[in-house]
Amino acid sequence: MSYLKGTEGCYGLVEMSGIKLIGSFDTLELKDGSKVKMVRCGVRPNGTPYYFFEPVKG
Amino acid sequence: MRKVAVSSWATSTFTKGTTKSVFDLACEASVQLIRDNGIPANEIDAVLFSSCAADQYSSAIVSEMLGISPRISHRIDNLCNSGTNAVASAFAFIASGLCNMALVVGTEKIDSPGNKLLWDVTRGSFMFPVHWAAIFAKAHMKKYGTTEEEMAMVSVKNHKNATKNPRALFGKEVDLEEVMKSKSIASPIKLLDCSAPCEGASAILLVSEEKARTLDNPVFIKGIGQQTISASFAKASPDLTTVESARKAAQIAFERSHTKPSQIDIAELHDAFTILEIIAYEDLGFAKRGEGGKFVNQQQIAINPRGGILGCGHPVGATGVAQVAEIASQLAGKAEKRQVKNCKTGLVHNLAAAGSSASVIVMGV
Repeated sequence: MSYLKGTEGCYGLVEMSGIKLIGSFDTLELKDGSKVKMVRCGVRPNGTPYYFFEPVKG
Repeated sequence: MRKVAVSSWATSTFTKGTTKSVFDLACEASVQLIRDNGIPANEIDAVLFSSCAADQYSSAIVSEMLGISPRISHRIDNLCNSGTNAVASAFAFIASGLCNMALVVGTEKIDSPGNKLLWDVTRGSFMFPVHWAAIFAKAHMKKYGTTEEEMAMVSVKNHKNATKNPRALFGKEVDLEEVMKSKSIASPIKLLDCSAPCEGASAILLVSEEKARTLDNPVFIKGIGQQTISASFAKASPDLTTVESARKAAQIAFERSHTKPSQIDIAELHDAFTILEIIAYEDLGFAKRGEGGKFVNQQQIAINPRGGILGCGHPVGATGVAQVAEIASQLAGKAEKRQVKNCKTGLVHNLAAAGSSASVIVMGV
């Protein structure tokens, strides 16, 4: 969890086909090795990118 | 290759909120070094300026302000590793015969662009260094059982050491409970697990062996190792319980200096976050892999006697220079209240940007 203003919330390292990114999650129920999918990404007006992921069920 | 010694040093008081410019700060430390040691400024034939500040042509500006017209003058900007990289460059210039006397001065202002890593898109929104430090900490805790209390003890130790350093940003001890109860920043990293960006400067003078022979207590640079793995966090360390660049840099430095980790008496380690000092124990071979957490309370090696980055504050471009200045002063027996007895061989370890690059310097008398 990050408690820094502007970056509050759950975050973690995600590996996608060899590319590693630090992404955001809407859930705390993730464990190491969990499969996730990217649900949205983009660039904020201040120029910082964002990557949101959610767990893949099943 | 010629031998190179650190002949003199001066570090300013690290602080926050000064109205002085990076140039004022750099000149203060440099002038103190030159005056206190009676250095003939016209013999300084290299000036290397370490800073992440936005100011351009800063090495030439500092040289002119100091009244020096060096053969070699440039700036080195490599985030937290800047100062140690500048020392390595000065070492190489002297060792190769390109110059005989090099002034290395590092400085930073608190608003330095080096404090936020906007260029690394792999970090997403989490571009503050604390975010990757928390990932390293989680990985080390999970793989080796390192505890938050062990990390907190690094902060307790280094803040205690800083009380003996009149130039440290923090002059107050903290206890384990205070660290553990301090505000959570990025779990499991708490406020007192983090260093604070601040302002300050440090200057050292490197000289050739010929000039060093005229000194009472020359401190020689015995070996330097440097390694850059990447710029981005994503490629820095495949295993997040170790800093690969530091391991490789240490291996090179130990080989070049013909030194073993067991011979090190005193060390300045990069502790911008408490977990980094624990990982450094392992990367440098002081502790076995996974046992860094339990190494915090050891007494064999004096670690971060000036208070480290946690206790002194972190003026990014000055930190590496201040680390070398501390080890030089300790080995020369001139470290005042914080003098460690009988130290003969010392080490400086410094990192940048999630350990994507590292420097290790072995020094001795």
